Amino acid sequence: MSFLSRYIFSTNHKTIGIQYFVLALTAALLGTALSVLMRLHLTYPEAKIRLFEILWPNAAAGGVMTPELYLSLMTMHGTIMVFFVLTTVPQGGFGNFFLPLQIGAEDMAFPRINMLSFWATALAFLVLCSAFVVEGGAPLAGWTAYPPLSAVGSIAGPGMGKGMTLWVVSIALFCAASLMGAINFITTILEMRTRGMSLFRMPLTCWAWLVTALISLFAFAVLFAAGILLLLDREAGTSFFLPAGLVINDRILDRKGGSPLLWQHLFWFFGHPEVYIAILPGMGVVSTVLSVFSRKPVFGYRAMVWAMLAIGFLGFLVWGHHMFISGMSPYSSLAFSVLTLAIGVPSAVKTFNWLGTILGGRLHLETAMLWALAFVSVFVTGGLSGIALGQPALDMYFHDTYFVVGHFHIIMGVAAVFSILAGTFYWWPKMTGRMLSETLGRVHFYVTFLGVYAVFIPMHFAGIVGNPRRYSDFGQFEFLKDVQGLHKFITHAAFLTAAVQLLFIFNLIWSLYRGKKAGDNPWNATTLEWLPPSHQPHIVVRGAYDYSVPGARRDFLMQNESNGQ
Amino acid sequence: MTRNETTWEGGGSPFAIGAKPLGMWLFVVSDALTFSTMLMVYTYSRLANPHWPAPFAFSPSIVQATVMTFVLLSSSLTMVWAVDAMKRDDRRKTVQYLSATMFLGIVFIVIHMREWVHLINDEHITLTANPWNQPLFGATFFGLTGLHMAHVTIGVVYLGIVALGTRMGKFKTDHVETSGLYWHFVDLVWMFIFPMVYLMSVKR
Amino acid sequence: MKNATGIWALLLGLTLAEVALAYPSLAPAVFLLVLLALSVGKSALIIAFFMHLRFASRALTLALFPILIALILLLLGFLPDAQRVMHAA
Repeated sequence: MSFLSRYIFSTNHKTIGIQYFVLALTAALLGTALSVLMRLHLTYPEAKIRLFEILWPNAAAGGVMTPELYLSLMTMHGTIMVFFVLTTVPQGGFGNFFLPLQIGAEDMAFPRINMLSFWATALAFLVLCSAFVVEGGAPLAGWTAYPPLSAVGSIAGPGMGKGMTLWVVSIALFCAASLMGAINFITTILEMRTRGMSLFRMPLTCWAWLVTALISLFAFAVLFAAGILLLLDREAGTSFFLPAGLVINDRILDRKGGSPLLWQHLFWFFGHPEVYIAILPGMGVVSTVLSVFSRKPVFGYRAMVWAMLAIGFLGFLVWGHHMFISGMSPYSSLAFSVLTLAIGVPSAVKTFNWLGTILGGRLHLETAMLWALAFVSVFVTGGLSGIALGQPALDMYFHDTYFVVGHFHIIMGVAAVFSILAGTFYWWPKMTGRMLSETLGRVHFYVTFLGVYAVFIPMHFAGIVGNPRRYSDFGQFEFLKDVQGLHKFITHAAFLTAAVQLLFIFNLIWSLYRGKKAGDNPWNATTLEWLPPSHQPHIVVRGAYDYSVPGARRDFLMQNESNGQ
Repeated sequence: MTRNETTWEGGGSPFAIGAKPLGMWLFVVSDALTFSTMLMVYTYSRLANPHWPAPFAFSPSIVQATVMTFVLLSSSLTMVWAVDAMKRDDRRKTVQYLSATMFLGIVFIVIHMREWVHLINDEHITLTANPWNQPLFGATFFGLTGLHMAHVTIGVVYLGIVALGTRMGKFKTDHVETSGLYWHFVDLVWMFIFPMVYLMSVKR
Repeated sequence: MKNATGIWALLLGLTLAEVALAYPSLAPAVFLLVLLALSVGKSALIIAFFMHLRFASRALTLALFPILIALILLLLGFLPDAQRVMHAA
């Protein structure tokens, strides 16, 4: 096998999993760097910062960011983080590497489509990043790309020309890649399970990947159509999202007939399920990690499965809660609100089952376990502010304030990232054969855990004051004078949290060379990926979480192990 | 142990179809939602613009579109025959029926292009403008039929590859069956586009 | 094979019926419902006989279609907003 077919255009699921992981790590570093630059500008809007000038000689001439540059950084931060980190690692990265191992399959069902899916994702990322260097720079429309401004081209501002077009193309490519991935995951799970691996013996990670793939299969189909239409509006002169009578930058547009609300419907029909695409795989990882490090079976395995299916379906019914202030009928608002709050039920089922899993267990507080516990913590915190936002009366006020920013960063960003980190610490020995440093891991964990709360909880208070999001400078608003100190605190906490991530990167690299060698099954876990590699197919005889089985010869029984003495 | 328990227990295919057809079924379901979205955008646009034009005359538009529907339905029939022949392991017949399907697909594209040219040249309907000053009429029409035609074109190429692979003996029944699912789906989508786009806008 | 030809003839007939119904000037809403019903019937025939779903396991039908149909119906939730578009000249 040549170098190319082995490491670059590989069809092996493990290689593809690692490729996704590395791509997403790159994206995460870029996205974090962008957020640091944004906070720097927000806190010191007048300061002349040499770094800005070096990076953007035009848009930050003299070292001061223009508001447009700030918006473009925000757009890219959001898009990179949502699509290329949160959607990519938990499913493409961990899923590809571990799904076939966990269900005892040799590879994914369609290895070549799998490779194509990764390279389409990588290409989408390159196309998106190229928006930074084209004329006008990156788009300003945010990750939701609301028309009319996203649909009219460069008269809407720098970056709304070529940059915005590249954004749409990138997202359309990403849709195609995700669709291929979803088909692969579902087929693999349904067709490739080894003998004895019934659906209800699968680890919850596999269930989570299955539900996530089902959501992707449908959600990205809608976004793809929306992307085509937006591209037509931009490049072919149609007006799907453009009403009559638009005046933009003192120019009258001669388009008519369309509706920007239509985009909001289409986007959020995808966008809300997308939230669950990001978080469900993490729920699977956390369920497993909590069980392994408590040496107890997952509490209420079947309830966990049904809760995931319920969350997956309900996620499609609530897109309207992103549009409460669009002027929709209050009756629709009420329906969307009730359905939104209903998602709290399966979410609570999961939370109580996680607590039930650790209750009375023999807890081993390894770093992976710490991240899983922290996930439960942020999931509850972020979920509670979601209940506030899910009510139209409150959302009228909170909409487009920092309350929303704090909410979705905790529930979607931080929770999903914590589950990714739990997965990384848990599976790294299998992926590389080496253990990560526990000492570095703990320092990284405690600083990050406290850091994210220090960053995002104060944002809720800023939102209650009425602090709007997406502004590049709050200096000129009298009513925001009082939150300036809060923002300074947030910025410094964010710098600390971002800096400590370097420790994590160092830990990854260090362990590749110096990490303790891991055995086949360092955590004494039960699922099939921890068996030594073998060419015999495994025959599964029990469920995925048989820890501390009474009368067994040790405190765990692997899935292919009968209960002999 | 009942049959149901064994099929879902792993080590087999619960739906009793291969991985390839199942993968294509999943694609079809997803693509169906993409087309549904496009049709919903069309419906939305129509509701939002009360003076929607109804320009399709019986001849040539409705006649051509009806003929196109017949052509596409017939291509589905030859596709069914191709799959049947492949199941009997009659590769020569399979390739013949696949070629017939491709031919009908190309006929569909040709008539459709004629129809587009007629609308653009004679009726002055383009993607962005038309005589009734309802720009979304052309946008939805060309958007929907264009997306469908792209599917037909891809389908013709896809069937060509399958025919070639079948002839060289490389492809198995699964391959032909899978391409059949795709082709029938493209046919099925037209069963919605034809009435909703053409028949809802006939010139009376 | 005979079976498929029969289905094909039925599909052609239904298509002709749709075209014929376009000319008595039915109320648009009624006509749309009739067309949709006929189209759903036609696609059901295609799915069941041409795509062989009738001869596949019931589980496959149940796995593929209920969710799809539910989601398509959900898309109808967009439509009330179509009336709220700005109608400037």
